[in-house]
Amino acid sequence: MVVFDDLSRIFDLDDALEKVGGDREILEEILVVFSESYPDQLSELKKAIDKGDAPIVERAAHTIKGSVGIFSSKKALETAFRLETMGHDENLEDAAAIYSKLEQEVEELEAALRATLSES
Amino acid sequence: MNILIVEDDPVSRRLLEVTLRKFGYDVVVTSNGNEALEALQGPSVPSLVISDWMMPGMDGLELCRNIRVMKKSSYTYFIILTAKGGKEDVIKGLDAGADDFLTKPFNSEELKYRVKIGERIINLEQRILKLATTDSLTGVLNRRAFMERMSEEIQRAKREKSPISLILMDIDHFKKVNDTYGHQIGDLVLQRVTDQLIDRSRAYDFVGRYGGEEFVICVLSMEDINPFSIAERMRKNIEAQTIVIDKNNQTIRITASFGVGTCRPESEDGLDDLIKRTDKALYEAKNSGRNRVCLARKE
Ligand SMILES: [Mg+2]
Repeated sequence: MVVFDDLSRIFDLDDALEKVGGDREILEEILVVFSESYPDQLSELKKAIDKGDAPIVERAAHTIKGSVGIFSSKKALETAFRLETMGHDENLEDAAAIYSKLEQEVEELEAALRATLSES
Repeated sequence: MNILIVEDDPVSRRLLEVTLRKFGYDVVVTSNGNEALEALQGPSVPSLVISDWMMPGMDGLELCRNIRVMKKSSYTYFIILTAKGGKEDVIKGLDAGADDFLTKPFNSEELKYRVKIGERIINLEQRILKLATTDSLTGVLNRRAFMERMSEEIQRAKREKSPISLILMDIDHFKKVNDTYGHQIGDLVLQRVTDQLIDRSRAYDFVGRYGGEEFVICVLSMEDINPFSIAERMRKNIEAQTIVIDKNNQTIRITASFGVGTCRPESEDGLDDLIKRTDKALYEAKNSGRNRVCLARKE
């Protein structure tokens, strides 16, 4: 089992649970969808950054922001929002570096969610 | 209630779906504007839409504008999803015709109450619509609502190349009933007669009150059905019915005259022509002794 030294920085379980009315099963169910969909969402974002397509960067980062927001992940949400803003401002200068950070945070989030939600 | 979900992100989409199902709603799930518009064309159309704003292709605003220009018989309540700290301008959303907005990530309790508000408005609209289309004494369609529906059905029948028929009915000597027993009994007679018309019409046919003591029935003709025999059954039932008018079980009996007209799919006739011909047939039934059914001449 993966051990995280400070889970609360990755996501806030209490907050996420409160948003779904305390129904842990709902979180488990959408985690399955998240695990399936985040690789594609990240790669769409990466491609747009490589191509310098700011509107797609904005939209793709916005979508990821929405997904990670559901799990109350402050870290990943902030990073996705930074990329969204960069896309909106059409300034992709540091986008590649921020993307790497986001990718790592999203993967970390998914692993943490799996570890936490699979506990009973 | 049927809710339509429009959301491009699979995670948010599933969250909306499971949450709304948990609250007991039927949901239709789509991932873009075009799919959503298609879902709104079907027969059991969702009355409430929850749509994401930012989507590839048609976004939520455009979808909302498209829905607002659609010709629909009932209102579509539209909730648009915005992101916290997002660039979407809520005013712009409301301006496009959205009824309400919800900020993502939303809380399921908040979602529940927003949907409840929408449901209340939809129910209110349906109640008002019912009041506006129903004849309050008899409960059947009023003249305007009947005509609206009848002209839609004529269009449809022509498209589907099937015949459609109209029955016009007038109670015989109704003025005498009113003069002899009073208007209250007159109203009772109208109600009892309506019962027979409804009883003798089929599920897809519909009945309307055309005027004082005049009624109309639309018969969506199928191969096996003869509108003349439907009218004849109505006439017989009305004739056989005894109406109790007071506590001493005093009863009266009445009769009615009918005109029956059919619009064949190959004919150029519209609703006005059909009414004219059917009205003539009714006039003929009255003139040739009442309590009978007359067929209109062909177009
Ligand atoms: Mg979206």
